[in-house]
Amino acid sequence: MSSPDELLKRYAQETAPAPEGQRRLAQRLALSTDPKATRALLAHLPGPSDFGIARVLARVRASIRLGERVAMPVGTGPLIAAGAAAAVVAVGLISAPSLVQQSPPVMIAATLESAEAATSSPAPGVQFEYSGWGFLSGSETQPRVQWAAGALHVEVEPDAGIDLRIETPHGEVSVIGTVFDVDVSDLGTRVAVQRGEVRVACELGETSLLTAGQSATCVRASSANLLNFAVQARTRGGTPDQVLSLAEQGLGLEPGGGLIRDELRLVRFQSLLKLKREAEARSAADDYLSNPAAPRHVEVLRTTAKLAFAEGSCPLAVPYLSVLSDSLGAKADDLVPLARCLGRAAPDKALALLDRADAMQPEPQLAATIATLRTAIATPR
Amino acid sequence: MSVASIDPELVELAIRDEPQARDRLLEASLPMALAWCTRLGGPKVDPEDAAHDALMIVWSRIASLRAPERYGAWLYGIVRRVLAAHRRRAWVKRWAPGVEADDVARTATPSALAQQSELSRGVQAAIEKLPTKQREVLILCELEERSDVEVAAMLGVPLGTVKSRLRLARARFAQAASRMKLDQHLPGRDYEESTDELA
Repeated sequence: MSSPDELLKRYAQETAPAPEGQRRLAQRLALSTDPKATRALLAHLPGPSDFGIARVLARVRASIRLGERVAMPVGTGPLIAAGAAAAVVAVGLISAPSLVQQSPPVMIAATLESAEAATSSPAPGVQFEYSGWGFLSGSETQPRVQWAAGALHVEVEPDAGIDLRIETPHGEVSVIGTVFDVDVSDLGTRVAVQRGEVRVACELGETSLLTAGQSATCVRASSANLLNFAVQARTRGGTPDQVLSLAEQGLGLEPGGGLIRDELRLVRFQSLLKLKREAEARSAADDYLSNPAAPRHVEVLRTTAKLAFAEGSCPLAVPYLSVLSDSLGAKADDLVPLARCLGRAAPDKALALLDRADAMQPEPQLAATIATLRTAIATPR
Repeated sequence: MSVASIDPELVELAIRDEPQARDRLLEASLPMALAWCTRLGGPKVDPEDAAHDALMIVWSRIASLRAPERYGAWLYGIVRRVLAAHRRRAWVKRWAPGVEADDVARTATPSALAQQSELSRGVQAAIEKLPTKQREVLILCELEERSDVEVAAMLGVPLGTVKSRLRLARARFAQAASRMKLDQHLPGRDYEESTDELA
């Protein structure tokens, strides 16, 4: 028989809260009382995806355009396999007799999305096989596809009067009657023609006509690609205007910091120089020089100083020459113009610059100039 | 984008039916409307369907809005009524003989499903255990971090009602989250620390 003390001790041991239970209770108390804990969990609630937003917007616009509620029927395409999200395709064909007075076209509003290969025939004479996603709009005779990502195989019956256009993030493909593939990836859009002819208009570069067996790739309009295009255009004899346009497009994509931005700024500066748009070139140089670590800082500084000299002589050139004289890559040629500009206004500084230039063992002609300048600065008026 | 960030000038232009203004307003309102539909709709409502219907009402009735600065509350009111209608429709479909209920999961896209983690689905399930009125207060106050005064104005109820609903919603959400062991995902806290805060 146990004593009352022992019984109490056992009772206390057996009814003591387990550490795990204590922790669970603490968490629940936190959730009930601490908004931060509640928010931390609620932050995991799913929000709408970009694709969902785009899908609803396309559907709302179609409903408004047609004046009636556009349904999004499910099941016209491959259905989700049990337990696995395989593919969903929703295609709606809507006729709009109230909108058009004469020969009403059959309007098309559809979302194409499929993780696995799916097929769809949104209009007579048009056949799609795809794995990826995009939107379909327009009419049966003028289908318009905005293909966002993935592979799209298209078959259009020739001579059926179908004007199909496919927009991708990198260009537009137009077709009258043919068989071809469109593949959109992060790198760009690849178009390969199996039969017929396809006109491809890339956002970057020129429009090209592809025939059977040919393919073309529209690259993504990234700042790196635009820099590449600008450099290629320059190498292959493109006009400075073309090169400048590409560089400015690249800069317009906000390349941020780093080498690509510096290189684009350099190409812009060089193009403006070639076009003899000096004031703009100097402004472009200022952009480039705003990064002291830019790889060709000294060269651009030197060219800009000369430009400034030609444009407005010393007052305009001195800021560039001063920075140049302090840089490690400064040559005797860079120091003498600054000494000339400073002249009698700052004789000590000017003479010090001439001494530095002299110590660099300049060529005889520059050495003679240095000597003449030194005498002129040292001689009182 | 939050409704608060929608430019009242754009709302005014849309009310006056200036070119493109209504379309731009729809585009600006859609993310928030769809977010509300996703989070407040419940398990039997297709959020995209509901957001579509709500925006169609915005399009057709925007001219009747008298106070552009109240656009957020007006939009919320529309979303709320549309969600209630969709829930009723789902209920009728479930009980009407011979009619199958909508299976919302069937319309979920692969991308949407992939985005939802297990935890995310768990939190959604816990939220769906709350009565609608508590659920909306919890979402508006805690997730969207709106003040109780703003939420009271949006819902057209007294401030005290918002506060009491929020208190009950927190407690019920905590209970549901605890049962589903979602609270394990919270950073660890000491028992004493929590009880001290309570005291």
